Amino acid sequence: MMVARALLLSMLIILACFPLWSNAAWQIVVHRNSTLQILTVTEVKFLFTEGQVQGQAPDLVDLIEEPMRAHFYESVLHMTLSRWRANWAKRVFTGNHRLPKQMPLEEVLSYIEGNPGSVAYLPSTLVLPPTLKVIYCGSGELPAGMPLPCAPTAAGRSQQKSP
Amino acid sequence: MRNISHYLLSIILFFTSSILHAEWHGFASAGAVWFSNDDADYVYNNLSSGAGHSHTVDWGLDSKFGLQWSARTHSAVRFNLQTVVARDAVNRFTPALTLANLAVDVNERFALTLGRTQNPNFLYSDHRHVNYALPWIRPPREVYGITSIFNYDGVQANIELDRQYNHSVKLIAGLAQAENAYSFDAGNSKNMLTASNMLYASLSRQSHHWLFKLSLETGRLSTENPQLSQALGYITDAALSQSMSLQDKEYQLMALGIKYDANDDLFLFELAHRQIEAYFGKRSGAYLTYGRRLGRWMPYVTIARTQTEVDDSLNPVAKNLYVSARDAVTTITLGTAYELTSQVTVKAEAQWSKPDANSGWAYANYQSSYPLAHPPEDILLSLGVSTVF
Repeated sequence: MMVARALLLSMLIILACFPLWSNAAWQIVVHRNSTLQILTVTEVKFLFTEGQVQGQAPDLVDLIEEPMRAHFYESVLHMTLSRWRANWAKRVFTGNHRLPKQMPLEEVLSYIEGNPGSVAYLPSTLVLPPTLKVIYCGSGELPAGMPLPCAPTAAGRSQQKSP
Repeated sequence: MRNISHYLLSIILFFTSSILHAEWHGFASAGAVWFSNDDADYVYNNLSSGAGHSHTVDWGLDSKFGLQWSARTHSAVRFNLQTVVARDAVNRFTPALTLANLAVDVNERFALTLGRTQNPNFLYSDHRHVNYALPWIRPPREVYGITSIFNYDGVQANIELDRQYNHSVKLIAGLAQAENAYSFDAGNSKNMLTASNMLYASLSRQSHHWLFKLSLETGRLSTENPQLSQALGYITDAALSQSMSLQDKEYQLMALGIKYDANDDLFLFELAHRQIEAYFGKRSGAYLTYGRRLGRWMPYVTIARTQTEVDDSLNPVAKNLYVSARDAVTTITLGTAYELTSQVTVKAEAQWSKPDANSGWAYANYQSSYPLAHPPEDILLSLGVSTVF
């Protein structure tokens, strides 16, 4: 019964998100306590190709659903899944890096809530719990003038208070 | 070195009880190569036979299989074991240990690695076996053939000197020793090349589109080769014989790499120079690659050149040795890569090559009919499929 309920919940989340991610808008999400600030699209690319940004090397979370993954890489990073995989292969096979963790969409939110050092990309209209914040929202494919279905909730660099 | 690897293996097995996370990865490639000249073999690095005279179609040049086990403990200690099955100097497919190390992440920006690592000096040298992650079927031999030493046994420091919003500066430096098998007679006998007292440093700056890498290495080279010793024995001039020998000779290697990888364009440039006071002298190499991504396709062109500066001698034995060590070739390669699936890539290449006169190191297994003084133009056709898992 529990398994059936979990499966049903997973299917509902994916079905609910399908029209959203297919509209090509994504949000980069971190824990509320993360010190990562709002990212530019260049920083998003650097983060998901080099594994680091803003002086930090956060724990990257990758979606296990290949169509969603491919869509994120193509629309935001402008690279195919194969090119992204090749980019990470060179890191993995030197023994210095691990591939980003892959997990199903329905597990990502709870993982980030439990791991403040992690960062993930999610469909932009997925409603987030208050423990998480958005540090990037957008896509290279949305027509000019079309409003984004999400907005960064983290502080921008210019808004940071001096220590 | 084998003892060190076994010692490390024991340490790794000892620590396995505290492993927090372990994972397996692998890569594989299969390739076929045809060479237009049947009076010599197209070979790569320490391989001793190839397409041309020895094989009409060579399936061994680019076919390999690799498996890697990586683990991490609670205490920021990492282990890596990687073995690659590929054709060796004596034409056998035997497993070789390419990574066997224990790394300690002292802090987020400093890691110390003990054991076997891969040559970090070139843009692709530390993962050159992973064909899937390369833009070509194989790295241009004009640069990657300047050294045949890739398995470094020793201690290596990985230091992140600077980490900014969208770029980082890293230094890899270490002390190592290495050995590598080669064969002068198509794989019938095996000789060893030994590098000792190796000191290397590789500085790289990575930003979103650009990668700059500058590497320097020094060390001492020796070889055990009865044929070479016998040839040098025929040289009556003791000073000449000593200067040509390869026993505990100091060498220097310098490499510069530049990579520009934007959305659709890929530019690669590498330059390398190696010098040693021995019969095979000073060698330089460079290549320039441009690739254009068109959806799943990436056609590319590479222009490469290598040349060797060796002394000349009136002594016939010395003269022959110098000719045998000269590698001077110009190549132009047209190729394309196609992403068959997200984890399988197919690549095809056609390479035109023109050795300079008396370049006895350009190919291997020269037949008496090969016009070494007036070498012809040659064509190398390659087809390969590669994957990672």
